[in-house]
Amino acid sequence: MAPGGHLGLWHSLRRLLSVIIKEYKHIWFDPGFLFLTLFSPAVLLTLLSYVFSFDVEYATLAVINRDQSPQSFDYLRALTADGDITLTNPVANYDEAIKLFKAGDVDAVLVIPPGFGDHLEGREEAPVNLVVDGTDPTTAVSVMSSVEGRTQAFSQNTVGVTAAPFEVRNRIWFNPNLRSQHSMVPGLMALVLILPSMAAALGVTREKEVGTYETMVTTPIRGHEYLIGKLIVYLSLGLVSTLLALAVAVYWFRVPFRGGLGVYMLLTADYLFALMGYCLLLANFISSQRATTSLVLLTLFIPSFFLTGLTFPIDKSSTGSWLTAQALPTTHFITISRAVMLKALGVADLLPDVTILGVGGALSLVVSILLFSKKLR
Amino acid sequence: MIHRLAALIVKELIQFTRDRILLAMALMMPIIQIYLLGNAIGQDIQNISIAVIDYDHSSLSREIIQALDNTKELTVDYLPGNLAEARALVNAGEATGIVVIPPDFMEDTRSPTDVPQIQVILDGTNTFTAGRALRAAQGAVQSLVKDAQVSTSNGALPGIRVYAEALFNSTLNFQDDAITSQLALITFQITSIVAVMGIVRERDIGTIEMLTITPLKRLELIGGKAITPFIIGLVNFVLMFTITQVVFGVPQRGSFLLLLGLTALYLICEIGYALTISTITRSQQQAITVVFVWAMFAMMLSGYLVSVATLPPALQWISWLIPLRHYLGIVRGVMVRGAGIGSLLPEVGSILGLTVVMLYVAQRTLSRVIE
Repeated sequence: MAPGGHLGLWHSLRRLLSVIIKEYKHIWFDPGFLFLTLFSPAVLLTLLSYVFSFDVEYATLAVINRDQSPQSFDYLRALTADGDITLTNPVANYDEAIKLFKAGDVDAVLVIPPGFGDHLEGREEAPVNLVVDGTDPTTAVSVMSSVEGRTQAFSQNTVGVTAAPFEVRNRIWFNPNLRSQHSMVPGLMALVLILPSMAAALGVTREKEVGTYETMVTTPIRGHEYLIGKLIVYLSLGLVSTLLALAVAVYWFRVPFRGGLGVYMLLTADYLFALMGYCLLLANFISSQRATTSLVLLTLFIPSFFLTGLTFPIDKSSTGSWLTAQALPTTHFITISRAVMLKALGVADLLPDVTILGVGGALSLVVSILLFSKKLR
Repeated sequence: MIHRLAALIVKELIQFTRDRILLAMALMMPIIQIYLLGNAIGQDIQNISIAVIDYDHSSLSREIIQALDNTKELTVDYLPGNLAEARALVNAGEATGIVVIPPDFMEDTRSPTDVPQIQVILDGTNTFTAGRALRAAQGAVQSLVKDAQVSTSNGALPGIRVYAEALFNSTLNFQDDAITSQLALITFQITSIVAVMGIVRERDIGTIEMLTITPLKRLELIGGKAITPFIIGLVNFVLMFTITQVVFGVPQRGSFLLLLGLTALYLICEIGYALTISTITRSQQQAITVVFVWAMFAMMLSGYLVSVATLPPALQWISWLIPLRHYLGIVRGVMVRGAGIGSLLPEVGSILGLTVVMLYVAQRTLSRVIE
């Protein structure tokens, strides 16, 4: 133990400060590492946001028109009126259409059977057949909806509406046009912040690999000072990188930011604390940089795409996937980020998530300090 | 030459197996992942919680609640008394949607002039869930409307009706598509991560100088560096493939040997890219950052998430340079459509071409590093 309470604390703080200064310098003079800690979230956010734009805006249809009536041509004109659906040259038979289909030249094949015009004229049911490619369900579903929607509108205009006893009206809160980017960008914030946190772990394993770790052991620096120093450095840089990524989200992708920036940054610090706690804990067990990256990538980054409610909702009926989701810090921050940015909620509304992150971070930090001190002795 | 190459391969394998954690991870994580992801994506979106505010309390409103609850996608979990309560549920993330049935709803449906409205409100913060829930809710209510209309107009409704049919995957289930994509992506990632460290690590630690004074030729060095990621990639592929078959019952309509052979070819190509990155980067962190960005590009442009056909034409051209795009075509082709080598020639030719080019580039850049 350090002699004398005040003096001990003072020395401890000085050692902590020297770790912090050393680490800042280290990062500053390594351009690659500086990029990883400061700029990578903004760059990655830009890339990922384009990857995850699911709005399929344009679709190409091949049409087999066996009817050739004026009504069928009206119908096709109505389908393509707004330019989102384009038609290929008319196709004569099914085989030819399927060939286009397999080559990926068309998204769907529309078959208008003979008698279509007559049925429509006679106010009967006029069936058409739409064939989509099931190997890409996302596109298939969106092509189906856009054809069905336009068909319904055209159909109601021509034959009129049968008096309905009641109607459905819908409203979508927080994201009225269901723009997928408005929902994905706040969620992806959670994923891209994994990179600066990985840098924290690399900051430790790099020293082990290069050999400066042994030098560190011979200095009077204690384990907890070393780890807390690292945490302070990477957390502060992580917050700066958050601001850069937020700028991309708001000014480039035009995602609405309805909550408070202060609240957002506070909760981001909470999230980074949890992430970095976990990463520093990992760094205790590994001694190479490639093991660090692979571990962070495989245990945090990739699962976060699918198990956290980023795209598909968490399956609450399966205990396994519910527990996995709760254990991943990303799950909680995806909720927080969307809630603050889109719903303008505050800390009080998000207490469960905030608490889990804080407690998780504190626990992993304490465990890594305990493990670490042992090794130093 | 064989002798020198063998010596390097032995060194590489010893070095790799010495890092126990990395070894365990490289072999275990992909399996765990495909298992977890398969389970997560496997089920279609279902049981989305919604809240219904029933101001009417009539037999019709109960029928509507029943119809909503009967859909596969939705579960009516809450019956709040007013909008404020419902809004609190949505804010807390407990409910994804609210359906409002107005007062005197059933009475109004009987009146010849009024057309009462049911309001469906959804939380748009997750567009995936919101879109599904919206379709389901509209579908359920619409079919009730239709039933009522049919009973008054006796017979089929006039107008165009679209009968949709999905080829190759008639139920439009996401599972086969998602799992085959995942199989290709994880194979890509694990191979690239291991391969990209090959040269740069020697450089970082300083052992590259020692390698340069050995009689190793450049091509031999590349061959030796390629062998560990190749084995890791292939073993992982076989393990994950087994899981897709045994656990998830993904169809395997084509020949397994063909798939395995083409996977081996693809791995060589991908290792060529990773080793090139490895020779041009200065430190391991740089290599990691570059491979990360490379993986993102591959995910974006390969058709992993969004089909290549929907990309702008310029990007479609660029996507040709990404081996994962061709490999995804091969995996989906062989497994889902049962394609043979004949219909996969464009993909195989592209990968072959890219392999030759990348191995040449890797060898050239390496010579600059060594000299």
